[in-house]
Amino acid sequence: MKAATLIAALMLVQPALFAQETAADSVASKLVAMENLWNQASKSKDLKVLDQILDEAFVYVDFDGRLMTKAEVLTDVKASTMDQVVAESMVTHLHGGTAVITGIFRMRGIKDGKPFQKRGRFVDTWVFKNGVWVCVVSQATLLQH
Amino acid sequence: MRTIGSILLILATVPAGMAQGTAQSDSDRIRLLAMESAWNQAVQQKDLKALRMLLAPELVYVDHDGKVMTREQYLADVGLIAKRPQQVASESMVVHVYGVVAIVSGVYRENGVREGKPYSLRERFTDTWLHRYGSWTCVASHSTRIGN
Repeated sequence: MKAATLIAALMLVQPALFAQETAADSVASKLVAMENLWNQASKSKDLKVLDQILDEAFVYVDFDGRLMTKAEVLTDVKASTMDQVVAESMVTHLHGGTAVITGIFRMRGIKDGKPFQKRGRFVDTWVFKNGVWVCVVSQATLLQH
Repeated sequence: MRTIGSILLILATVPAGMAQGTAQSDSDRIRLLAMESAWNQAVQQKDLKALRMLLAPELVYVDHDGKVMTREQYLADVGLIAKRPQQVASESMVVHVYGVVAIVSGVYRENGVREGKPYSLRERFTDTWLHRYGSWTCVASHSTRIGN
């Protein structure tokens, strides 16, 4: 399935369906799928998908502590030389229409002609807004081992 | 003024839901910035009772080393006898309000003495606050170290 189709399927949750969806596990699974899609879109530089996942006022803090807007993140992804980015050990904390996801990311790529690998902790906050889940804040911190 | 008194004053002075739309968002922003300041004051004074009023029981706290802590683990860390913060402050704070959810980002500075040695921290943070049961409570906080 194309990423754009998948994101549409994941995001177009009708409010009525959301109201009936009492199983928090279902929402958590959906959000974990969106996290994976985010990584996939970052790797394939699919800015259209990222545009749908990230809120217009999205706030991102990268592992260097750099504060970035959504536009800056999209520009960064476009210029990126990552060939792998995956998330693991994800835990979803659901608070009604708000979800906090913690996890560990691993990324690999080539920068200035040299291979690099990074591993870090992330925390993302998602909000159910206008019938879809969007990420409003994401922050990363490198892990030493 | 003791920290807990400050927090009660913050909670009491701007009743939630008093105004609508932009006015409500503005009052939420002011209140959240005051709560962030109260948090810093409580850390400096090791006022764990005040911190319990600000932080949700299910708080997820990620420190600058990437360590994930529960609220009780975070409180234990703040309460360490060997750690004595002398100056705690936040700057460049920006608040984004999404109805009952708010994100506060900013730069946190802390310096003091730990195990007899001076330390200094400068971190970028993002906090996720949730409005429930009539007040704001922090459900997630993440810090990443930045240069001085």
